[in-house]
Formats: sequence, structure tokens, C-alpha cells
Amino acid sequence: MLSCSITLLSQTLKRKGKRKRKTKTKNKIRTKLKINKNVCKKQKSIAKNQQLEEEEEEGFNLKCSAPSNSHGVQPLGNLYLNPGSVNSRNTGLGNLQILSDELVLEILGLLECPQLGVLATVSKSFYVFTCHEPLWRNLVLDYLRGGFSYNGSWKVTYITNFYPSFDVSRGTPFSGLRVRDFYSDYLFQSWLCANLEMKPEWLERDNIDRKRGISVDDFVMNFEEPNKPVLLEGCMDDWDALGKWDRDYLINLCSDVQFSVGPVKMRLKDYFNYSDQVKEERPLYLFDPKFAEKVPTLGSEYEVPVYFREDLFNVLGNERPDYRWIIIGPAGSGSSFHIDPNSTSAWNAVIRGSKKWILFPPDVVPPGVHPSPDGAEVACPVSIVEWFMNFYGATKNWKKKPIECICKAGEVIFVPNGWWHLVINLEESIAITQNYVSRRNLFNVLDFLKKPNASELVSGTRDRINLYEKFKNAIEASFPGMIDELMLKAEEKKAQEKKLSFWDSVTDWKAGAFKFSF
Amino acid sequence: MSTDTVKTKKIILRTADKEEFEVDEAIAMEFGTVKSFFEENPDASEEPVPLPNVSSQCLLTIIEYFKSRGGSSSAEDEAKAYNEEFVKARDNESIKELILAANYLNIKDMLDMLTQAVADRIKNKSVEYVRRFFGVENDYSPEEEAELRSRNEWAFEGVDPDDD
Repeated sequence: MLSCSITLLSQTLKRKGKRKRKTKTKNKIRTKLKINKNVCKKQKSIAKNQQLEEEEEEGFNLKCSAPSNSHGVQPLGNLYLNPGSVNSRNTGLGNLQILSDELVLEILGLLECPQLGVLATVSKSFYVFTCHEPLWRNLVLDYLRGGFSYNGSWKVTYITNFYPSFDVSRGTPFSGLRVRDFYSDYLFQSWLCANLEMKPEWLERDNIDRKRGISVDDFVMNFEEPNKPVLLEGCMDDWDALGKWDRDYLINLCSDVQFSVGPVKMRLKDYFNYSDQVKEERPLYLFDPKFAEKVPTLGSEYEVPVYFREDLFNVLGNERPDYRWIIIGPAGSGSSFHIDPNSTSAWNAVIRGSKKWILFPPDVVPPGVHPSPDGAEVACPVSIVEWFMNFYGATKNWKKKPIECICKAGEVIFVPNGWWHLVINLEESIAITQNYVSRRNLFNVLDFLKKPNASELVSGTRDRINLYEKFKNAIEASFPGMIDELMLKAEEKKAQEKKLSFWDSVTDWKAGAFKFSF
Repeated sequence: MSTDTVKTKKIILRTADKEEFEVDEAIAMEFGTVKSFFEENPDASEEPVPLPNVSSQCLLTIIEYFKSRGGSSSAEDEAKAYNEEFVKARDNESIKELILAANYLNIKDMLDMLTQAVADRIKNKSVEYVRRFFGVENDYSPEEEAELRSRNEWAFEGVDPDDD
């Protein structure tokens, strides 16, 4: 267990950033796994002092199954509380010590497995670094792709696969070596985030509108038009999936089918084998856009809720971008902040398990998130858990609070286009999500596809540049006059709004009197 | 954009030791940190950009690297060969300093090249070699070391013998 008391975590543990491509595919948690490919960017944390105060009062709860894989690694703050202590991290790294942890790991990330094994015996400090699980995860995924049987840890998985004759249980367990006086924020944080329970106060706020049995017109008028999120109950009651889909059913149905999991494809049974055992900060997430094609039964056991049946991308037939995914993942898996691709709206239905959602409107960038000016990249430096640790507290004091909720089995959340959102599974979850285009966001989508840098931003299709033309023409063919009609309505609306804002501007709202500004 | 003789825009960079370097805009924009600086301060074009975490020695080396490498239009083979020469000529201390500088300045390609250089230098080397190479203090007891070696036996095939 941890050798330091939890309350010593009263410092904001900063992490250098990782760049993420914003609109590759819907699989936003496809964070770049190779640490060595990313150049770190310093993140600016807001409300740092407030965060510090909070953390001093409350500790963190670890999952009860948390292993002591930290090898006795302590956060850097402890070093300063231990006068006279020397950081064995530094003495053990020799003249590499002036490099940051991330840079050391970048170098190690360029080495092959045997070299890592050799380096482990150089010093205890090297041992700790070379045991860093993400290094081994990269090696497994690079060399074995999805064809691995997870065996307790990425390191052991790799070794049992490539050195099958070697007895991995030889001597004391691999994770057994403990080092003294090793202080490293990065490595400690990594272990902590992998083993942290979600704090109850992160899950308390639930301020989303909840509706049951409303009409489609109601939905369109009160939520889709004004672009507002809502949680809809009762619209999955007829789904076969709701009663049927559980681990056993899916294994019986399609255990050998390969599904998309992060950067690789895995058989469902191999994925469940992994998700049962894994304890890491960013678990691999099963997120497959072709599940209905692969297993038609799955496609037949759910139906699009009535509110979302107008989906204009349908006009593209088989050429439409990816639009529906099955999502399966263990507790702790999820997607960090992103905006859905192509300016579409989305719905997400939980069939099993539960998900915590945090949503920010399009004009409010979540704390800790840094979109590039052209929108092509979103730097979200930290993992989901670390975001909660370092940034969630800040939202308490913002005027523009996020919309939050926990979405449980049987519930569907509507994610309006352009909204930032973060999702984390609170337990093993199975869900279906679809993106769609209705008349209400047709223009947004057309505008988005028309953008000069469409080739970078547009996602879910190989034909990025022509998508705009194709879509526009297909709409005009299937719904002649629709675009013109909508254009007219939009102009009328703008004219109305201009009228209002003019009167707004001539009224001095503070004094309640008129003022003339010309 | 302007081609040859028209005067290219210069940017001034100020290092940790307060020295100022005048650099072509094209080169300066290779530094992610500088690029971000101008994105966030569009009116700052005349002032020197402060780089408090880079020494003048390092910055000079980096500028020379970009000048001699030529633009990104140079052939991939040439660029690769140039990189190899560049790295070969540097000792470990200097590579380490450059890694820190390239990381701070956010020059991805250069950072990749330098970290790869370090990795290459320790590939397939023995434990003793690596200890000498980095000046590392061995903090294992003889028993611990023996046990760890036996646990990691799979790793030791194909490693250079110890007196390299």
C-alpha cells in the first residue's frame, strides 16, 4: 500500500499535455498510446488555490483491489517533507536525472522489450521506470495488435506471449520490488489515477432536464431547436436489447467476432478477459461503428428512438460517414472532452451499467481543454480521472455551470450539436450511440463540411473533401426545395432576432431608461 | 509568399542568459512555443520573444541545425543523413541539453530525433555499459541484482558482453 498518507496529496499534480486529434473518428478516447510520439504541452490549471484547499480537507479513496504496483513511488511533495532525504529517482538515473519523467519515458518508449528488461537491472530507479505499464501496453499493441490474452498486466502479457517458455511466476511476483525514497509526480499520479474511486461529490450534481413520454414536437421545440441537452426516459422499453444484452448473451452470440477497440481489433471474449482484469488510467474501450454489419442480430434488437428518426445523412446510403456505435467498457473507461464530428447531434442509450456525463455548451470551453484555433486539434492533456481531480472543482465557481447527470440503463441522453462532453463509465457498461442530422442542424452540418480545412476536420468517412457536394446534392435529390425552404425560415428568424437586439441596445437596462446612441 | 531577395521577416529571441538572436521567421515558427506566443500576442512582432529556459549555446545550435538542414523541401534521404551527422557529432551532455531545449521550445521532429539518438546509444548494451554511460549509481544489493537478473533472464539474449 501507499507509504505516504493520502492527505499529503494536497498539491495540484500537474501533467504535461498530450495532443489529441479532435475529429479522427468517434472513438475519441483513441488517445495516442505512444507517449514518445507526443510533445508535451504545459497545461494551465485554473482555480489552483481553491483546488488545493479542497484537497487538504478531503482524501482520496482507492479501489479496494488497488495493487501496490506503485513500487513505493511517492509524490514529489513528500520529498520536501522529508528533510535530508535524497530522491533515489535521481541517483538511479545518473545524468538523465535532469530530464523530466515524461522525457525519460519517451526515450524508453523507443526501446524494445529486451532492452527494457536489461535496463531494469541497471538501478532501482530504472526498474521503476521500465515497469511503467503504458510502455508495455504500446509494445503489446504494436506487435500483437488485438491478438493477445491479457494476463494480469501489460508487461506480463507481453512476456508470456514472446517468451512462452519463461516461467513468469519464478521467484517473487514481478511487481514485488519496492524502492525507498523514490519521488516522482508523474509516476505516482499515473498509478493513482489508475486506482482511484470516483469521489461521491463528483457524482452529486444532476441538473439535466429529464422527460418521459413527450411528443416528438415537444422534443423538437423545447430541446432540439434551442440545442439543449435532455435525458429521455422510457424510450427503450421496447428494445429487445434492454432485457437481453448482458455479458453471457453477447458471448454466446458473438464471442469470436472482432470489434474495434482503440487502435486495434479484438475478439469480444478477449476484450472481456482484458476488461475484467485491467487497472489503468485509460482503459481500452470497445467502440465499433460496424457492429450491426458484423452481427446483424445486434442491429435488430434495438431501434432508433422516435425523436431521432429524421436523419438526413440517410440520403447518402452506404456512403454516409460512420454513424452508429456499440460501446462496451469497464469502470473508468470513457471519453474525455470533445465535440462530436461533422457538427452532428447525438443520442446515447445505456443498455447496461451507468455513465457519468458532463456537458458544456458550444461557447464554453471546459477548464483544462485547449482547442487549436482552427478547431482541428483538441489538446486535452489529462485523463478523465485526472480531469476530475484537477479541474472539476473549478466548475463549482463558474457562472456557466456544466450540465451533469448519471445516465442509467434504460435512459437515453440527447447531446445537441456542438456541445462539449465528457463521459465515464461508473461500472461495466454496454451502450449504443448514434449521430444524426435533422432539419434543425442541416445548415450547421453543411457549413462544417464546406470549411476549407474539411479534409482534416471531417470524420468517419474516407471521402472528406467531396462529402459536402455529395450530401448537398443528395438532399436536393431526395428532398427538393428543402434547403431553400430552410434558408428562408432561417433568414426570417435572423430578421426577428435583429429586431429584438436593436431594441435591447437602445434600452439602458441598468437605469431602465432609453438612451440614444446616434 | 515572397520568394528570394525580398527581405524576410526577422524575429528576435531572447535566451536565459539575456542574449538576443535575430532569426528568420520561417525558422522561428518551427518552434511551437514561439508560434503559440505569436498566436496569443498578435501585436508583439517587434519585441523579443523571451525564452527563459534555453541557453544561448543551445539556441545557437538549434538555429544552425535549421539553417543547415534547409527547408522541408529537401529530400528525405538528405534530411536523414544530415540528422545522423548532427547527432553523431554531439556528446551525451549536449544531446541532453538539446532535448530539454527542444522540449521547451516544442520542436517535435527535433525532439524525436534526439530521443531516438539516446535510445540508439543504449540499445543492446550491457548493464555495466549503461551504468557507465549515464553515470548511474547501482543501488541493488548483490542478492537483489542476482534475483532480478534471473527474473529478467529472457531479456539478456543478444546483449553485448560486459567489457564493451
